[in-house]
Amino acid sequence: MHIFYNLLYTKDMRNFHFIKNIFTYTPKEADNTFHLTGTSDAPPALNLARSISESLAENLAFAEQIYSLPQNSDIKVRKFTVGNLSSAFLIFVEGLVRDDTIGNHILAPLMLLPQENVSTEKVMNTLILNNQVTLLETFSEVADEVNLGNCILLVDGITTAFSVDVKGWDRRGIDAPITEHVIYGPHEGFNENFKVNTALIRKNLRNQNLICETLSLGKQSKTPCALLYIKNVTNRALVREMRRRLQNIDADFVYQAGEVEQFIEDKSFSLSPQLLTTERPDKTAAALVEGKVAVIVHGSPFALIAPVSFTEFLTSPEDQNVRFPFANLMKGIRLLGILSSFLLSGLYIAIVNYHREMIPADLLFAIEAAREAVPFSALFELLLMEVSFDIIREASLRVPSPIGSTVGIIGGLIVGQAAVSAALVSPLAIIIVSLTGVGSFATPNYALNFTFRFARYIYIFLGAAYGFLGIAAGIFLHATLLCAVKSFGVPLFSTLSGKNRASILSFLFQTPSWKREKRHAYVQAQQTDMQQEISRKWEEL
Amino acid sequence: MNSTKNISRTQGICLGVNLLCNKLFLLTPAFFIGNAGSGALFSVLTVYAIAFLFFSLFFKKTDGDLFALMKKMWFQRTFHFLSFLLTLFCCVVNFSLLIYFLKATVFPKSPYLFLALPFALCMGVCAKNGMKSVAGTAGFFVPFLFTIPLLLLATTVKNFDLTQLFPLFGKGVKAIFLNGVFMLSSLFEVLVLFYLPAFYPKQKLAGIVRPTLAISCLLYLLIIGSVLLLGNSHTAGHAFSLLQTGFSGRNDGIFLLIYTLSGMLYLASMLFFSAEMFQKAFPLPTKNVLFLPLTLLIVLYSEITFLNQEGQAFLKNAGLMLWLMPFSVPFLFLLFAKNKKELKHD
Repeated sequence: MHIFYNLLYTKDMRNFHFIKNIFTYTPKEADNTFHLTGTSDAPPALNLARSISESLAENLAFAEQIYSLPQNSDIKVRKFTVGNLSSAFLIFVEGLVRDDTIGNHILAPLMLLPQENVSTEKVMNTLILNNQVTLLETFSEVADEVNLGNCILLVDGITTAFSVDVKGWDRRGIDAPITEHVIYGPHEGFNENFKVNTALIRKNLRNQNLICETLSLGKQSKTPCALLYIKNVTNRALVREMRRRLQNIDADFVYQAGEVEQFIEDKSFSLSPQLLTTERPDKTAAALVEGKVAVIVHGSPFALIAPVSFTEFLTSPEDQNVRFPFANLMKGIRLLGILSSFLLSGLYIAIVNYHREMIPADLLFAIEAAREAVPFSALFELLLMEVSFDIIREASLRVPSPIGSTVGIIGGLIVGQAAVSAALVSPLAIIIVSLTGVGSFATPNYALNFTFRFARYIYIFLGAAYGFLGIAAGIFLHATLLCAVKSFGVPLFSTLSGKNRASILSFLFQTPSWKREKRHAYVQAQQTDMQQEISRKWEEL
Repeated sequence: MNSTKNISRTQGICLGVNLLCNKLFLLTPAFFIGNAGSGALFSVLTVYAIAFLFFSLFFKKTDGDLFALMKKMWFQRTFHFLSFLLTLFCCVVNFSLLIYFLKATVFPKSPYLFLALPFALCMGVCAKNGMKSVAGTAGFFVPFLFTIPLLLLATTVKNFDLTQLFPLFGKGVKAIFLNGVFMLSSLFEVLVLFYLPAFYPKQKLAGIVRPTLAISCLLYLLIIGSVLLLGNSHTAGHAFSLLQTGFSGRNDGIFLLIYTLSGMLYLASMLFFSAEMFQKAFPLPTKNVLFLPLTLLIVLYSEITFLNQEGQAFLKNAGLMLWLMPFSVPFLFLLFAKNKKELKHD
């Protein structure tokens, strides 16, 4: 029996179940596993171009269809009677509107109207207390306005909807910029509300020629976006091109400035950024004065500025506010830091592997003595530390800020010290990686920092393969590829093209404020002069 | 926005200076010193005096467009084709020199193709990206490439031996002035300046050519002068190894970095212009398809001549006749061109 049972059980389970099921009944096990498959029961598309009907019931039914009511719990419909005679309803998104404004300035005046026939003019006059009231004809306009955070009023017998601006969601206040700290200079940064951001620019640049065009991005998201420029300064062709690119983003949803940057930049596969991103209103205003255009996307605390030259990625907002000898000193040190951030590791590998004659004899002995106990090659040793450093950096960005500094301390001190003690890496490798890390923090532009972090690994491999020849090839290719990149029709190295002397000088030096007489030639602005040749007129008096 | 075709004056000058002065890092000082001895500086001055005279005459008689002189199309095509061959020849020579230098200094056991790869890649990518990229890279690098060596050579002033300048006329007047014509071959690369009107307004071309010649003449005098005054070294590379900068042991690595960067730029520029010449010789709608085959041709031909001693000897001797193309041919056209007065109006 035992043998028979085993035969049935081991050879073929089906036989066992078959025999078992003759005598006993086993219900089939339900398959609860979820399989995601294509669906064919999508709701039919609604014709949003439909005009608003005279019948309020019809309008309400269609609005409920658009917003999938009552399934959609944050869309609120408030029915009421205007002047005890005409039915009406309000539709809005809960949380995006100011409830007290709706109560005090829409519902109360309309409900208290005298009992007579209501007309469009009468409703408009009643709603005049509110900031903005727009008349809408179709349901697509109604949907756009509701999504923006406005309140829509529909009244029985009126074929027009009233969009009342009652936006009032909670938002972050104006804080100091996170990525562009300065000691001197303003401490205001953009936030996620684009109206606040445009107002901050307008506050910095009090000029009637500053134009702020509003566009919407994304076929479905309809994200508001502002295109800013100075009417009598900025090149018209540049404004047209920016507008053309923004208007021709054929995507359903666009939310962030980073996404917009990728949609409008010239070369997507280039390592270098082609638009300047900043969270500083003063920097944006200065760029507009230079004759550039700025784009602000709702929901993003960054402005995009174009066109841009490579020099501007290396310039800190601090430079404008510090006296020029110190600004130049800081700029020189910053350039050294930036160079070390992507070149130092490669140079170290190249020198240790191929060009030992460059190292003074005493230092060479010290290096060799330090590396004696390390079982790995210089390349592996350096890669180990670089990757560890990048992991620590990523980790300290993701963890909550009180723990971030602890992660840095653990990574920098304990792991580094332990790695040296365990003879995993030499102390010199720790010094090199620390210097590259500190150098990368000196890069004023966050986007460019990524470029150099990526390039650093390429230089390490080139240095390991070819020594200084590899480094030379890397620098050459890097420069060549950068020369081929354009930011809105302007080569990134345009400041070196020598159209005017000020442009070339600005590549390396920060000129004093009174010497910044001309706009950069590459901007091709309508007005080339920014100030008189002699701007310190008091000296002549 | 900016025209995609134009280069700036600074970029044009940097491009020209690198083309003329790249050879200064290795062989040219030895050629000049070997030819005229302690009179090498006079030899440099002679060569540049001829070049200045020629270009002054050229810009006086024409509006900077050499091909306007060549009325018949087959003249132009022949000139383009010969220029293409000689430019390619110079590329091969310099490519071989760079590999030879690397094999002799840092990579004695590495195979040829391993060393050729970074150069081929750099020249191909740079030339393929177009004139903006070539000129932009030149504008970015050249000021540093030629300032750093000069600053470093200045640190060897204490080793200068002024007696090396005597006798002043070195190996004699004949060696300086007559053989100086052959030394004009060192300036073969001025040929590409005739092709600049496609990228720069020809009326303003003198604004590029004259500073290019002046700056390169200064660099020739300073670098050949330094090498000469150091006495026992005949290349800038050797002079570099004598430097004591205080931060490094020997400076051969820095020299390698600067020389290879300048070499890559030279190769990229010459590759670009050779493709331009080929395109003009056999009218082609685009030159983009030419860069890959030309790069391969340079790499492979350079490998053959690199391995072949006779090939090297041929390259060395043929190099002395290079001056005929940029100087004598245009001079002849200038001499026999009809309606000289109308040339400017053309």
